[in-house]
Amino acid sequence: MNPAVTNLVLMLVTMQVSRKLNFEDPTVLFYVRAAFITGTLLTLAIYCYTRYLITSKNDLTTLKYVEPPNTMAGETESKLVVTTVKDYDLAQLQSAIKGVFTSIAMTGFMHLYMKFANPLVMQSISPVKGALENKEVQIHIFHKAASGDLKRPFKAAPGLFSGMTGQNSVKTDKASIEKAETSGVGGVKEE
Amino acid sequence: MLAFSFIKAILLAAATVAAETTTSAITSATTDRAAATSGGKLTLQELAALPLKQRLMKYPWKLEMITVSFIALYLITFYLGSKYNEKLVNKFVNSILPVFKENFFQVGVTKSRLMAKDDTQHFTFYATGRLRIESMIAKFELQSRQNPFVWVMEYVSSFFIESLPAPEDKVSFNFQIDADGSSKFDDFIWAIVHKDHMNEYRKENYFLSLTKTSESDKLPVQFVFMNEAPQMTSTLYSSEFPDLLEKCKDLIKFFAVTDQAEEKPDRLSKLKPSKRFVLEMRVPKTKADVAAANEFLSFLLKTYIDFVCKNSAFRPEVTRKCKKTRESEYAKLKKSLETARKEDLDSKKAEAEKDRRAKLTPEEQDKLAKRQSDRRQRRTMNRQKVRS
Repeated sequence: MNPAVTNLVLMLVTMQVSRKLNFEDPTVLFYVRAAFITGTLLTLAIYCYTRYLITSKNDLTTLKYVEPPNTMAGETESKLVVTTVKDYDLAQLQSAIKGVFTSIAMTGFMHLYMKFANPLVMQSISPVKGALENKEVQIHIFHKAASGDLKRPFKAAPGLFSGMTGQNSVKTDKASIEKAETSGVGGVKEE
Repeated sequence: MLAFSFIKAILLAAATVAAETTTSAITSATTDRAAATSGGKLTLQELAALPLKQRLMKYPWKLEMITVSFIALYLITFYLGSKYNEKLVNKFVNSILPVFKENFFQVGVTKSRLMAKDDTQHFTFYATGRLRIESMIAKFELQSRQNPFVWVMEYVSSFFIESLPAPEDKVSFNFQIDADGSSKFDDFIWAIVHKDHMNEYRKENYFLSLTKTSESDKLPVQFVFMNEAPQMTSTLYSSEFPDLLEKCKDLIKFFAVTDQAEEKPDRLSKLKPSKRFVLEMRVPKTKADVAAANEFLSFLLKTYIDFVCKNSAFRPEVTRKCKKTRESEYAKLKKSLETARKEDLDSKKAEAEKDRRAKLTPEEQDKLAKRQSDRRQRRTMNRQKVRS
């Protein structure tokens, strides 16, 4: 099933559940907090295990793709990325782990400062779901073949702002790689 | 320089804090005189009345002690860190010295000095006077061990920010080929690059971003070729390489033969080919690594550089390909320079026009404005005519 749809369903369900819960009750609050902490630790454990698998596999096959220009940073030319499968996987995983820390910070702010407990319910399940759906985890823990949707470089799911930021997908066709590869864009020294 | 300013800042801060605490101690003493005299603290008048020796003994020195010990700690770590850096460089340079002495007439930045210490983490080693090589410059860039605060900061920020590389001890050797050697072989770029961080190397080095990356069975699995035409490899990849690279697989970042600059040229004159051999590597620390680096350098100096000078004249189609890259780079740069020049000229013209108008008398300015509005009106009227 489409992860975006399941996420929406999950959100609605957890919202209903958290409406039923009485967060004034210290026992309920304790269990909700415990669930959140367990979920977060489980997520991190999954990612760290995947990282261990990637580094022990040490797949040094080179990977070339053309990244679209980051229009937010004022770039106009798309640029070639030459990397290895291992480095690509690690970078993807690193960004996922960073995402976990951001969501911890957000939930922590909402819970500790604004005293909401509802996000804890949601955030104890959805990161774990996200981790299990993560493409790197799918490849390395569930041993799915890296083809189709899981073919590196991964195609970003069409997001809300993909229309705004222009063409937001990586290219892997031979012509655009060849064009970008010898374009001489390196060595720009910024002082 | 950084360390110096840092110490200065600490001293300044300590001085201000100390001044504040003394005054506050004294004022609090005056407000609560009875308690102060009984508790051993002194009022301002009493303190002033005391002779110097007693005054010094009564003064609370705690803050100064903390400050001084902190500075002392800083100085000690500075000394130890910079000594360690120096030792690291010296150890490596001494091990490669025999090979360089054998090859070059002058080894060292001057006749009497081997290395230039630019600061506590940058060193330069130089040699000159060899057939076909104009000069050799090795630049060492070490971790900032002399300043533990910066050092820790670098590690932490490199973990969180992707674009910042983790601090590392590295050295780049640059063998500049002289005019005589350069005339003997074609212009081309050919490199062996370590796969870790190869994208960064392409980003940092202009000449690598002109090449194509290709894997090969001939290389150890940690390396790739980056060259302008794959046909070059059969000539340039001599039989000693696999063994040497295997030994240096954790050491070498990249080795390149290039005629183009490291920095992206911003003037046409910088596009002129200037041939050189570049070897960038980590500073070896263990005995085995030092030996491996030494072996690679001696291979370069004893056989490889002369080998390339003699043998690298390629088939016409390869040469044509290289030439085409250079020509298109020349055209690109020329075009961008021209547009920049045009923009500059246009903005200057606009500025001059603005100045001219500002200098006119009010009546003339009015006339000018009227003429412009007339023109605009006429234009809109014309447009309406066309539409109807």
